[in-house]
Amino acid sequence: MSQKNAIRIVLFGLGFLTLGFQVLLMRGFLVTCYGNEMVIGILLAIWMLLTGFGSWVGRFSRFTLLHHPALMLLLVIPGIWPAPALFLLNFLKAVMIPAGSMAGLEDVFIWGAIVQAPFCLCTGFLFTVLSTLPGTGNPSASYAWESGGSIVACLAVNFIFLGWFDLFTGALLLSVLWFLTVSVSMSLRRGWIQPGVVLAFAAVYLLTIFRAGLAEQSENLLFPDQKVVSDRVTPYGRISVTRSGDQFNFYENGLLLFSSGNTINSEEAVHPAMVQRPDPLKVLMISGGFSGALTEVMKYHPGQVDYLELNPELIRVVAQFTSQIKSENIRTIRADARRFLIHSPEQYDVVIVNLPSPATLQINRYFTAEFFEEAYRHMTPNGVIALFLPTASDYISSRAADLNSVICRTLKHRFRNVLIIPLEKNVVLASDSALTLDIPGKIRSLGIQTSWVNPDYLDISQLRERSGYLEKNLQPTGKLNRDFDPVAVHYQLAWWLGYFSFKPLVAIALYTLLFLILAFSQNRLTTGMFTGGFTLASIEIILILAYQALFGYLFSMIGAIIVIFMAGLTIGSWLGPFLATRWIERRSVIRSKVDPEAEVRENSLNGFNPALRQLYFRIQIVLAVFSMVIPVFLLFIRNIAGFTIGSHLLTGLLCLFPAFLIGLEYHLSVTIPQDRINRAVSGSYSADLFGSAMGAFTTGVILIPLAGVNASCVLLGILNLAGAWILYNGRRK
Amino acid sequence: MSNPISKRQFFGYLMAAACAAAGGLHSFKTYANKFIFMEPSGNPGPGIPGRYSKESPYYVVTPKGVQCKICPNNCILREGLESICRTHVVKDQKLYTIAYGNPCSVHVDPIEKKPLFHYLPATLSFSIATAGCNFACLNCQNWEISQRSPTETENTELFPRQVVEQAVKSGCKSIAYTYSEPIAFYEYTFDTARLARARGIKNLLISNGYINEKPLRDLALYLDAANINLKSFSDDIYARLNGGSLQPVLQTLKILKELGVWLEITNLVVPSWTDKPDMIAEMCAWLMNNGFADTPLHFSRFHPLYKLTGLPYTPLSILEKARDIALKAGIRFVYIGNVPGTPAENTYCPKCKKTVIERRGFNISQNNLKNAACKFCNTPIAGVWQ
Repeated sequence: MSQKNAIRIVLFGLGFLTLGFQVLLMRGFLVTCYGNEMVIGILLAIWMLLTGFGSWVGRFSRFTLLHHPALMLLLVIPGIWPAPALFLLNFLKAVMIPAGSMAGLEDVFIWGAIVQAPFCLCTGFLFTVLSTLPGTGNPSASYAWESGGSIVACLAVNFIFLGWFDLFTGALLLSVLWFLTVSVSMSLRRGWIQPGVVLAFAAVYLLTIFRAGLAEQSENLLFPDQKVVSDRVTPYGRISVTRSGDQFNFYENGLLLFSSGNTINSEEAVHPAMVQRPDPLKVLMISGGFSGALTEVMKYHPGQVDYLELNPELIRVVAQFTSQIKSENIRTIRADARRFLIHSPEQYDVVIVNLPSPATLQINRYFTAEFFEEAYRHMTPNGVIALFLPTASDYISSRAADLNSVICRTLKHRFRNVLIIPLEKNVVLASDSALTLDIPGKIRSLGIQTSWVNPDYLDISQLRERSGYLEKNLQPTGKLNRDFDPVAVHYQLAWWLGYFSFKPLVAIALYTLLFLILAFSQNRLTTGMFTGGFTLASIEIILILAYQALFGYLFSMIGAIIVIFMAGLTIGSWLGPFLATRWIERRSVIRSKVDPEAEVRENSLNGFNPALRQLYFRIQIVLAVFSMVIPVFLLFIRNIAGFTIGSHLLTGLLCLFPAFLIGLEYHLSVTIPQDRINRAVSGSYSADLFGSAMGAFTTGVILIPLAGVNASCVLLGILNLAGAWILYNGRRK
Repeated sequence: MSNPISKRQFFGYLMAAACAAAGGLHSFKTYANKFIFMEPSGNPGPGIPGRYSKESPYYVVTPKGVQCKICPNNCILREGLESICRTHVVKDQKLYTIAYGNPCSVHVDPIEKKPLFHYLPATLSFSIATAGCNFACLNCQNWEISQRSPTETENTELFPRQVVEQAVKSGCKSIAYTYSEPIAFYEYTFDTARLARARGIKNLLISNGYINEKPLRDLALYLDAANINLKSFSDDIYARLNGGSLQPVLQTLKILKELGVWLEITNLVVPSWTDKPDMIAEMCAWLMNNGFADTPLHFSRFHPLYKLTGLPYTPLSILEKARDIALKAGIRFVYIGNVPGTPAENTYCPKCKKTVIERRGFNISQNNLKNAACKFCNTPIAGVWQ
């Protein structure tokens, strides 16, 4: 086999390994850092920055052979890192912050850098080196092979690994596949001596990891003084069950969902809403029912309770460790509630949205005007909806007031009456009919047996006083929380940042400095890759958010969206040489008819192929226009949401098209400069990653929560226009 | 095609932009705080004594700066610096409190919520707090006020005289200095307590007990009851979980008892931090050896809050075990808190073991006290009952 094919196999494996490990590591980080979008945005940004830097350093390599001993050593490093990295993450948490406490932003930065650096620097470096080894062929084909590996990893990890294995087993499996890939590609070139060494090393490594019991030790570090009785990684999140004393504790992604025997939470989730309509025919409960809330609902003898839970694994483990109420009237439905409501004909008297406050874009979907509209359509005329926000009964800070205000305002936009009740959490009720604050009085008159929500603990005069205090501090006017303008996420993030000594100006300064350094270190060609990477990462986030808002969360579809993006990149870079050649031919024919000397003049001025530069320029313009019209497409999809095949097809095209353009752009950016190939590859690939890093963070954490989807799309358009302008006017580096 | 920009020109532009950015930083900060980070504005900043300031009586001027002598943090401050509790600043070599007459939290609560079970049961307490605390507990339920300065919170104006008037008007028998940490707003507490005493209103200190001897003795002259949160019985845990130390708190308990202030103790049982039976036994032994057998002890259930959201609720079995340890050690009145409906909220006669006071939440459903004694066996039940 030629070196070219051997390298392509390794590149495919590299794509598989990097994406696979990224998915597993992010799951690990979610648990360790109780991740929200800001944490994940930071971590992904660090990942791509480090990989980009590794790729950039690759320009200085002098490797010419795949089987060079030093290169072999470098190929081994990414294979040994995944499992120890997962352990290291929990170890760092155990030694650096107090037991059970939340990781601060600085912790996330430090851990993210330490845990990801060896892997990302190495894989970034390897990509440049492998793409530019003599005989590799067209570097855009290398990009396509690497992306191809990522596509397969995305499918394999999300649909096989996460369902069948825990994180450690998944990480070890990735290592095994990587070592096999490296060995096979080497054996095809140089016999079995070097591959044998690699495989022997892999065997010793795996044995060491198993003997060290890293998985068990890691769990113990994560849940100090608790016995882990179940730990499963599911596509929807990692579910851990621990036992402390006589109590079982259920965690999802490291966040405590509930502990057995905790009546306060379950009673507060149910009774404030149920006493408003004490003879309900139908009740809808979204999540959180197994903590005991369903038992509380059944005290009102409803005709039917539809209980929606997204994660089937959660249903299974809760049933395994706790005794659950059994009733023919309870219908447990494994589905995303927004997706369910689109197709359901049911009408409910009480809707209980038993979810945490809107810390992520995904949870925020249940706090938006659009969801309230959908819920309203499924409520009887006297129906009541309940949801829960962070408490502020002793004191309401401006941050908490903003969050509570925007949700109450959004509810008031649809419902005539909104009531906020300060208990352990703030219970927010909304209905078109009258609502009463006298929850304890109603409980007593109905004869419902409770241990917390009753007149013994809740005094009506104090409830009135504290509810009035809250009402007084809420802002009646201002923005509404919408699917595409999720302002509540911004308020929730600001509230969360209040936990730490967060210095906004320092953060803004650091972010701006990093952005400027990365943006201005690009030349006119890689600027396009930078803005392109930024745009693609941003569009990916926007479309995933839009899909969830329009159609509901469906794990397989989110995976499909990511795969389509990668497929677009692969196709674009794969077809790049063909399309570029066709473009040159077509343009040459036209130009030679008009002015045969023009091309010679431009080449002598710029050193760039003017036809390709023009194509590059036009791609930038198309990306700019495309970014700006995304809101129009989304509006169109929303209006044809009933026609699911058409809307899904259009969503798929929206994902494929920009990714295709970026793939094509990558080909152009490594082809246009008549420069050393490794400089071109490292410059373009690192620019793509730097742009993606900034895009993922900026759009997910800053732009969408602050400005909404529409404004974000316009800003993306402007960014690409700037990229085009620099390409046209900038100085060649 | 336009002329390319040279590197020199680019850095020139960058410098100019940096200067412009620096010039506009102040206005940007105002914008960022108001519209992006939602910081409230209002009170004068640290170091600017104003309407809600008063010179503190407890400080010394040292060559290193002005040293606050209210609590064992003993902060040494210079102008522009804030004390650890965020409520004291220095101006012209004098120490000022900036937490005076500007509470951020004012409510009426049942006294059992403090918790005080043996002091004027079933009465209401006018409860106030300003921002600030001399601890930084990782599990603070009121972190939005305790870990803030009064310059950062939305406050109401309520000077000591007005506090007393409001307490009388709302039918409260007592004023509770609570929620955040009254030692951080010591001067406000002191002045209010003195006025309240003159009007026959009782004063309740709900505190971490982290205070120096002199200010404590001065304040205790006006205190009627206190609930001191004995957070653990380990210096190391005090340092890592709360940012304090154990000995000053123990000293506070002794002094309050010596001065005749009715005292109850709360111990929050935090899983993996303060739930070790050995440590609880050691704490109970110390209490017994120092004459606290009749001091009610509340073991409180931990809820995952603030930064300690990675821990579960305290299992009921652990709380019951802690209660058993305390009872076996000889402490007579041991309660479990934050667990609704538990029989461990009731007061049992230490001799005949019958229920003297049956509590349902913050209400008393059965009272078998007669002349401050068990009506079944006439054993005196320690407390201030009327």
